[in-house]
Amino acid sequence: MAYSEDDLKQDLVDQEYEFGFTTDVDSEKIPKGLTEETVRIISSKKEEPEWLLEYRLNALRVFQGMTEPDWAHVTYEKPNLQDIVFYSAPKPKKELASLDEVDPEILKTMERLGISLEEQKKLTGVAVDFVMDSVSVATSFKEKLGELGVIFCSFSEAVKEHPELVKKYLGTVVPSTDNYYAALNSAVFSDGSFCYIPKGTKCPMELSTYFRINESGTGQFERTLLIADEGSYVSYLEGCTAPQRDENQLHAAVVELIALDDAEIKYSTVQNWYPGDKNGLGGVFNFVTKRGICQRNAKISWTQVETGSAITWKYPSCILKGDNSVGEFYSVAVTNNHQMADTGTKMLHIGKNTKSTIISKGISAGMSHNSYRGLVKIGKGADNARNFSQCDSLLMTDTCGAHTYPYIECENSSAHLEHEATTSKIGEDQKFYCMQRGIGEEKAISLIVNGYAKEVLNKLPMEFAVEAQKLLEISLEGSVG
Amino acid sequence: MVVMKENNLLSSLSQMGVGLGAKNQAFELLKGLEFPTRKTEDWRYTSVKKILKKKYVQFNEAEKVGLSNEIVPSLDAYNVVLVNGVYSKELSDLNFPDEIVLDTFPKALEEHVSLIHSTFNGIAKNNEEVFTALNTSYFHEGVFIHIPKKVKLEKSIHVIHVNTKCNVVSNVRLLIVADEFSEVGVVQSFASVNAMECLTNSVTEVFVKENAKVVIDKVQSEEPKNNLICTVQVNQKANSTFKINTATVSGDFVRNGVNIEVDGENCTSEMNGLYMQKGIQHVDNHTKIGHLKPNCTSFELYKGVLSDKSTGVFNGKVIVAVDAQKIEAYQQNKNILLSREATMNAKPELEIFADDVKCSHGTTTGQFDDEAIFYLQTRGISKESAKKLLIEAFADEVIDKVDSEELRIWIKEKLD
Amino acid sequence: MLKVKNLHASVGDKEILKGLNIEVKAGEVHAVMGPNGSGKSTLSAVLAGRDEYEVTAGEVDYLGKELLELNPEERSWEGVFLAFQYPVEIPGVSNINFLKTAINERRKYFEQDPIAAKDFLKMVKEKSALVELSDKLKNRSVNVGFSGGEKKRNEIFQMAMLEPKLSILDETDSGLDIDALRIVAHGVNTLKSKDNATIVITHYQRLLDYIIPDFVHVLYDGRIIKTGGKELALELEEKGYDWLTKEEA
Repeated sequence: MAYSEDDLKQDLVDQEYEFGFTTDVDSEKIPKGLTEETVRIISSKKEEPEWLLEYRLNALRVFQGMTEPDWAHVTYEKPNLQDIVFYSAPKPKKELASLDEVDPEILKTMERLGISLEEQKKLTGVAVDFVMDSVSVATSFKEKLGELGVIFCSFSEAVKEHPELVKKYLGTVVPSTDNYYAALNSAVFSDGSFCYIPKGTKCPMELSTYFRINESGTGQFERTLLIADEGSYVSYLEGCTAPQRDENQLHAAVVELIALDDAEIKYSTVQNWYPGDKNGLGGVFNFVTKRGICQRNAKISWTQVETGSAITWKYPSCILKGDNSVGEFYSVAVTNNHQMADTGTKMLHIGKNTKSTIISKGISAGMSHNSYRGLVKIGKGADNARNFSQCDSLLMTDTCGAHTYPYIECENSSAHLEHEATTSKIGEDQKFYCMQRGIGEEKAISLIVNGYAKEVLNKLPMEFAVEAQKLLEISLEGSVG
Repeated sequence: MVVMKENNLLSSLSQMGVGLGAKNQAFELLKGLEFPTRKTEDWRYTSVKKILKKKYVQFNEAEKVGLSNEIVPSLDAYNVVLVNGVYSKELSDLNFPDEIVLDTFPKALEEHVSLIHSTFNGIAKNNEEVFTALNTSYFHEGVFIHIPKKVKLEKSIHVIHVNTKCNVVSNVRLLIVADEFSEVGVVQSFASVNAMECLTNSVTEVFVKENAKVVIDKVQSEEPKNNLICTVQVNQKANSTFKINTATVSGDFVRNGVNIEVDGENCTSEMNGLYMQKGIQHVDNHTKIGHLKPNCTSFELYKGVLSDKSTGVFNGKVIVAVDAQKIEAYQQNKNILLSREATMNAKPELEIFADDVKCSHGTTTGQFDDEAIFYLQTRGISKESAKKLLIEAFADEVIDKVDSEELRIWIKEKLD
Repeated sequence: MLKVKNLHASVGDKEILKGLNIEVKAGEVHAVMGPNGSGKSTLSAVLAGRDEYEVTAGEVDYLGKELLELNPEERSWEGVFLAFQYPVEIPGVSNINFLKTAINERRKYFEQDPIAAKDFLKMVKEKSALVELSDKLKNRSVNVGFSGGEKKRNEIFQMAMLEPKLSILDETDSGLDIDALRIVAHGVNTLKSKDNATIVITHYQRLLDYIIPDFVHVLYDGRIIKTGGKELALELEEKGYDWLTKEEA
């Protein structure tokens, strides 16, 4: 019999007993709800310095004065924040020095997600920082990276060991006042990843984090801070999976990228949170703020493949502050059944000769709604700025919707902007051609869709691209009427 | 409930003239509305603060003036002239074909009460557009055009709005009803003579019945210091054709709204616009086309040339409703910024709820191709002339959409 | 191999095939000729299983199976190949990947293991040489950016890869210059064997100089109105269709 989520849960429970854990749940899960007290508990549990507690409390005050935005083309029942547990951690017995010490059951879970650390380590040399319910449980390749001066660790660890870096950059790209969910995250974030690439260093391996929501009724608020110092390069992968849950789970992450002069950051995401069932029951609410800032000659490239979540609200953005800086956004978003996605990017051109490219491919099936929402802003001083945007939507059924809302603001006459968008149905001719060659309908659709998304998939690192391709296939299964 | 705040614009207005229940309803509705701010999505790039602050005067009697050929051109058309928002019998044509109805509002109401009651205010979006509600509440003058079944009007009808005094406020209303198989062309021009700080708030409702064709050409050449809000609300029935061309030559503040509901199969809809602002002028074109029924086509082309510190806004929305299959909708917006200080904000939107559609939009913003200018220079054309030539070529693509040649010439003259 | 009996088919309300009969045996080449609008393309579409075409009467026996009962991919697996008049472009899907998927789907149907990469590549090399298709084109997206001639050569390349029993070439000569025509015909002739059959649908006799038919059928107003040997094609070239259609009328 297949190993199910319930089995896993049971295993984890059994294990606690095995290792003689107390059954005092309160020590790993704090009470439901959001108050100043919640924030203080989180901060103290994590033994945070005073300045960070202040940061959180400030964010909470800002948050309490805000209302949940409703401009996105999504409808859902707003999550009741008083019904959410803001911090939960699978209680580790001791500090983990290497992979071998990781709980074998957790490794098993990872394997089921198709991200076996062992295998990836051998085949691809990826260093993985695995986050399970908010707390990082394993980090590999730390030593090797350490030799180069690359810091890649959990956020809480970074707070303890590199407070000066965290303090200097935290909230500089996404201020806690930025938006409702960012403020919420700033107040209650539990853990996440931290990465620093020193001057002139080309990070020799792809850094990767997998997030997973495991505990029922747990909101996940992770925080990622990535700093690429002058002349450095890093490629960062983020994968997300969530097991099936009946109730909606809230996920409000903040990712901040800082690319200093001449640095380059490639940030790839494959998001496959639980989308809810065929009837739209359950699924993750994914409200994420991702933003990067580029200094002189720097480049930030966002690539995302979004197939999961009941609701997605996500706009990975670039502030092109330095002259000659480059921002890129490549996205494939698939929605099926009752999923709703409102996603896109913001490219803010401030420096001279800044360049941005946006390629967005939306695929809607079932009764879903898929929206592209983007802003390209050319500031007064952004001489010779260039932007090219292309937003295509592919429709699979007559019950879904595809929407495009680009905002183009230009305050500089030397800028050159081009935006194109198309919406069309999956080609009957293409389908028939494939079928005549002996490729069945489902397979034909997957082939055509993958071809349609190719431009974006090609931007992903190899092993990620394969996984993403599979995900597209799985997400569209049964989408043909 | 929000109670509308008093402002100078509101206190300049008085309700009078036309007696219609719809006016009172709109007046009640207006009390619960608010004037838009930058936070109102549809007014994100256009602030109305300035026009609300001004004090205006509402005219109730037509000024006796003589108007130049420039204002009242000798187009092959039946002229209807409104001076400071009031119908001028002296300046208007009184001889038009018997089979059509062309009347000013209070009078039309006496003679065509049932037709007006079944159409007037039927598609105006009083609850969504505060300036439409304002117009419905306060309009005191307007033109009613009814083209009965199968009548094809050879000459067009030219409605001329002219302001001859400063600070004039006018809420003018047009109602165009084109019955089955009829055809009509309406030119609506806005101009002023020695007038400043005026506000014209015009609302036009157009009913295009089965197999009918309506073409509207709007020519906006207000003197630079004037303000203009123009809303056109259209309802198209099956097999009909509607086309609107808008040329904005000047005006301190110009907001054009075109809103088409395509409520029948096999319709063609076309919207074109050209805007060429200078100084600190602001022009905002908002278009919306809602495809409610299958098998229709829509085309849209808006082009702008912005100089000095002018600002342009283009917001085009294409909506394809559930089950409105086989829709082809194309939208293009192209802009040229001639000065460092000019600003363009574009927001083309697609909202598609049907799957068998072909929809696309594109927008570009940039400056002239230096290569092209250089090429012309090497052929002995001065840089200035080269630029002028290129601007003309750029604008011609839109002007060519105007069917009448004399009208095209008139528009080109205004552009020079 | 193929027996078409009294085939009636329509698109929407319009009946296009009005009782068509044709029989094709293994090893034979049949040419179906006819003026525009006679139903040539409808015949190929119906045989391949396009669902816009509704078969209202008649039957089609293919190797003992009722062809019309099968869906398009099953017909393909059973060996029916249609070379499209207008080959379809599929952006982002490479020619190679497309063919590999097609071959493996068929192998799955016959409960065979997927083709080994080595064998597949060998086959690609061998078959592409047949129609002089360059490596560059093989790796490009299916038909995207191909010239008219390249598209047609690609069709024959796919035909060679899929080794069909019954090939239907729908206006394969349209838009081809003489060199491309020769290459395409060479491909078709090389693939010809005593076990397979070909139906060449064409408007002009030009292609038949290179692919010699055993039978020529004239299709007019949804019916075969005359059948003859290859000399019939020459006669048609000379006299046009009028003398036949007048007879018919």
